[in-house]
Amino acid sequence: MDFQVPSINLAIIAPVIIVLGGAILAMIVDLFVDKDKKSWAAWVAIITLLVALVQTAGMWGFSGGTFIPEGGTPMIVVDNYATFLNITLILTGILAVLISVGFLQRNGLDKPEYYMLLLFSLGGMMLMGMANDLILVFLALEVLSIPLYILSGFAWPRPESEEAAMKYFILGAFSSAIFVFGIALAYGATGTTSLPGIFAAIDVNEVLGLTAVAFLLVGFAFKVAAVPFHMWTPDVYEGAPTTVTAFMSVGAKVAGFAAMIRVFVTALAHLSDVWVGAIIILATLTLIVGNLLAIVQTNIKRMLAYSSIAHAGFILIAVAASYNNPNGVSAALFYMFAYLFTNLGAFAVVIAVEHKQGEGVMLDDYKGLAARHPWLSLAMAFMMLSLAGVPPTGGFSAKFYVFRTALESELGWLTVLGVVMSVVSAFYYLRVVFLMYMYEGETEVVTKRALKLGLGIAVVATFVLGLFPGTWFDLASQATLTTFQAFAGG
Amino acid sequence: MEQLFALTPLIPVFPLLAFALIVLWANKNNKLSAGLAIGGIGLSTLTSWAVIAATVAAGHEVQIAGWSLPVPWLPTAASIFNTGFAVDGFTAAMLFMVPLVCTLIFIYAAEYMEGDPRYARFFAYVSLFAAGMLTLIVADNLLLLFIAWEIMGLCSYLLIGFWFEKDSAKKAGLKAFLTTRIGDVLLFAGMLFLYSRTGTLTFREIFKPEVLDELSRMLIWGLPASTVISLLVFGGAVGKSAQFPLHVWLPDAMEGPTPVSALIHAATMVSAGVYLVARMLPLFAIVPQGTLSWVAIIGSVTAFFGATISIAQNDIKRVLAYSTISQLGYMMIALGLGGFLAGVFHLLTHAFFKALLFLGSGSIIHAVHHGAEHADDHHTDPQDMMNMGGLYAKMKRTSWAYFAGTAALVGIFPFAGFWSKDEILAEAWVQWHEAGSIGLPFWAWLAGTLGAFLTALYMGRQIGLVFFGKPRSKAAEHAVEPGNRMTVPLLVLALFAAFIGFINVPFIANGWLHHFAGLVHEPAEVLHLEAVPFQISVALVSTAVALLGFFLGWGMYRNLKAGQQDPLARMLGPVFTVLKNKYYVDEFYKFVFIDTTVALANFSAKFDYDWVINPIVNFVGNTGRLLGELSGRIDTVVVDGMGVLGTARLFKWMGRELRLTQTGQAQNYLLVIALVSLSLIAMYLFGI
Amino acid sequence: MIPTSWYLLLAAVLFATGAGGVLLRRNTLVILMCVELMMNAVNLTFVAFSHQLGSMTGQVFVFMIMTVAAVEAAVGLAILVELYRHVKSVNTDDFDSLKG
Repeated sequence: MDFQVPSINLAIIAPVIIVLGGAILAMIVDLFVDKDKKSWAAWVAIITLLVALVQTAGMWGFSGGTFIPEGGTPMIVVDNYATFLNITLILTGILAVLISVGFLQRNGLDKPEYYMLLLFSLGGMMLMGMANDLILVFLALEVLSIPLYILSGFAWPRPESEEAAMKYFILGAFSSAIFVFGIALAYGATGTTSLPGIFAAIDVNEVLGLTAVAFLLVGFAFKVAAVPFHMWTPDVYEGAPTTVTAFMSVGAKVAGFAAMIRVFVTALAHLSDVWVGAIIILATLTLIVGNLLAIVQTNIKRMLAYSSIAHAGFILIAVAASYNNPNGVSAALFYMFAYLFTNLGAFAVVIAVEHKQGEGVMLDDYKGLAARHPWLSLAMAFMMLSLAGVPPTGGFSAKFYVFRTALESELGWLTVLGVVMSVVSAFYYLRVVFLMYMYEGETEVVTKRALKLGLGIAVVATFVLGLFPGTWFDLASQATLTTFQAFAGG
Repeated sequence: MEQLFALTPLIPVFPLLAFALIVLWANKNNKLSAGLAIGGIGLSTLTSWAVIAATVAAGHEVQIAGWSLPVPWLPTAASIFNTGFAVDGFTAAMLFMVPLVCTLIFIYAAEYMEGDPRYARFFAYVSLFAAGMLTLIVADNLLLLFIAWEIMGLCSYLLIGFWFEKDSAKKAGLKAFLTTRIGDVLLFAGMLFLYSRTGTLTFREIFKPEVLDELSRMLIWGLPASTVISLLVFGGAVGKSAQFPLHVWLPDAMEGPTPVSALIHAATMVSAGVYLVARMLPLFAIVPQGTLSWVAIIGSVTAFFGATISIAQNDIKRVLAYSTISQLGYMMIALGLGGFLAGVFHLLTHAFFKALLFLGSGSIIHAVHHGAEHADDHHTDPQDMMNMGGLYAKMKRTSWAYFAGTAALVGIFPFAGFWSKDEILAEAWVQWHEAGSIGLPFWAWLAGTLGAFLTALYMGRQIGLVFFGKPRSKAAEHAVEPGNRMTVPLLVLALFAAFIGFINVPFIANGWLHHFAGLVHEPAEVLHLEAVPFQISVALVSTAVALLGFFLGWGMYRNLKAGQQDPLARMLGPVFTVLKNKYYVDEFYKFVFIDTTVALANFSAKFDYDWVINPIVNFVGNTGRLLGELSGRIDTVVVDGMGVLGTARLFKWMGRELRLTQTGQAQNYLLVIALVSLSLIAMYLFGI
Repeated sequence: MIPTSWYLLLAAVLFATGAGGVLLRRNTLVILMCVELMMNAVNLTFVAFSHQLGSMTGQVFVFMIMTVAAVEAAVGLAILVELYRHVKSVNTDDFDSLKG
């Protein structure tokens, strides 16, 4: 029983180091800057993220690992899968910062801590896709979650914000306790926490292993807000500052799926018959409950919360399909990439309409928006159509790939349910369009340049992904090639 | 000439561009917006003519096999999914009709919509609508067709509900959207099955004989794939083309501005469904598992019932709406009997004369409306024919154009409808005689012929009520003919209504259209595409019933006085009441889908409460509050009047019930997590 | 020597106790402590397995969990203190303004 220092190559985790380094840098700068000058932190965050984006994009095609214990497998790996997810997450971060600036300023929340926490959380999210060891998965999960708890309560002393933080915290802590118990059991079953090690050692019929699968599934399902582990989502999304909601609705979901897919499809490949059934059940429930509950909402943040649950359902279809088909992973990756732009674009409009915190978040506040803000409304309508999966938008291409893969994997009924539910979803997405274009109303709207830039990027990207999805889907396919080809059907 | 084909993708682009420019830039300027819209569709028309010229010049082979331009779009694992454009004889024929009729409607609308506060927006929507329809026609695959189909669905919803200040308009828009959406889901399901079975959605690929053969042998849910898929596709067409039993949205679509009614009823929306069936016809025709007879049955039922309802309507536009439903039924009869060209021919001629009739009715309404304003009368319904009468003397141009349209619809020699309707009836007649026994062709012929009589009857009634006799209201007395921008399109359409039929007259060039467009399904090898010879007996019978019906209607209503009882109502008694209420189909749907859903909701809410929610609530310990909320929810479910269809209601209700699980109590959420985790483990360990 | 399964059983009992506490107690402070209890049950599991398997990984993991638990406790308490100022209660039943 002895312990060796693992071999370390920091260049491999450079993107994470840059992001976390930016956060730490901001903390240090904060000590020396005049308290009145506040917007500098946004600049630090944007520059950090752009540098990280360039660095990450440069790593495309590279694969390698680091933190390699003596005679073991690397705890952190970088492959195209991780790089694709990192790009997705960094873009999420950039858009989230862009749409945050004006909102924070007008609500007096413009503190540098906001951007630091966002960067820390983003660092954790990026690690989720790179983790090749359950210890790392757990750490990354906590690094991403804890800043999010704080960010949810960032609008203190607003009671809603604090309540959201409290609920998120309690539920999050509870589910990570379950998750880590799952890790302990997996460790007991296989004697290792490394994913390749688990793949090699796991026994299909062992009680410990099966229980571990269940507990791990609970942890991930909680993070991605799959029904019935979704109940925190609407409350937290409603209570948290809208910019935070926007960030976590994409970031936490992408990160959750990143680790979920890597753990289940590689390490637990032998148990695929065991987990795929549960995933199918989760996907079914998620699609039905998410979409039905979205219909009856009157608050747009809550509606988008349920919509994000529903979208998790579509991604779960892809995950279920990936048990025997690596295209499932590509479809999930592409879906998340398209979802990032669409959802953040929609939130950008929500933030613009929420002229003062807590006001302008009801659906009725969208009445007559088209008459006074035609561009903003057109962007919103476009985002709603993309979320509903109407061609030619990114949302449509994404759903197309998911359904096609599901059919390839013989998940016929799940596909039919997905199609029906995407039709149902048109009810509530189009209602927003309906309200904007077919009513009269007075709503104040505040748009800042940064927000317009973010929204513009989102619209263009959604459009490009709808018209020319091929290029991006090819990248997503390449991202899965090296990592998952060997495991699919294994 | 071949190079002209390359212009095809541009055809839908012009109106799309017009839409974008109006929305983003010109929306403050009414004149400019209308100009952009008309310019856009005008350019499409010119481009279409170039493409048609290329098709005519290219000769028989291209007219059958088609020119196509594949565009790689969605790469999939093994292959690249191509989308793209194609032109063959059938497409070219449609390209002649759609942009031209749209252009005329747009010009007409420029005057008709004057003074509307959302004038620019109207032209943006109709441009997008036209772009959708044009894309649908030039698409070479089902997916692009479906995209265009959905765009039209969205636009129809926006346009029918255009005057959303009126509650009825808002509801009609939603009803149209949801009803056609039922069809869309079926179509989409059919598409997915087709793609998963054949790996392609391109028409040419699907209609290769070997692919069709394979489809007839594969099974879906124990039935041949071709049967399932073609029925699903037909479901889409039934919704879009307002066939029984999904016809309920079309009459309500009259709530939109009249040019929209013309657009929906003639050139675009409803033709899309017929176009789809015509395009996919080989799939229906696969022997022995094809589903052609279903198409013919639904068509016959619709043709007859639509016409019967029409004779009892008093709203001038509703008469035409049910007439459209009935005429679409004729097209389905033709397609269902395998008479591809007969259906297409009627689709083309009908578009011209129905657009004419709708625009004409718009003129009349416009005139009566102005008359009412002149007489300072705000109670007279300007659409009610009982308030009209004697308008011939006041609006000569509109009247003559309207007469031409009526002659075409009723099928008077030599107007367009005579030739096209006759070909359908001849098709049925020949098949009946070939079979030698009373079967589907006979019933189709009978429904068609009776329908022709009823068509003549309601049109005679309409002409008599609107144009002849004495004005029955102050508004009608003061009616004035509208301006040139409205009447000129009418006269142009009247010319087409009179002469378009000659493109397929058997005695001239052996039925030119037949050679041009009728053979596009030849490569599929499943349809008999020879033209039916002209049947003099059919022509005589249908002309006789048409004349009889028309003069009967005209004679009965010509001198109707204000306040007098409807003569047909006197004759038919309770039957008339049933017809007037459209066989109570709307009421039936309300009863079956909406009321029972509410009853079910009440029952299951009780069930939920007694058996499922209550124990959990007890366990958590806040029964009272939930109970109060629950009964509040039931109240809103019952009281709330929204929801046009039961499904919408049902989903909404389920959402509300599910919402109760979201109590806001963190520990309830924790409890759910814990219980589900335990059940997961139980599932794994005990293999439940 | 006490067999590993006894440790595991104890850990499972502790974990269940913690989970039960989280579900049944209304006081948020107690809930936080119960979560800690669950975490420590996991720690015990790790140590037991580590000992049984002769592998260091489990013990390393324990340190990680302890760190994370400390951070979580700090953040949770901070949020609770702030919330207490408004609601004047640490009872979870009183945190239900967001629902539906």
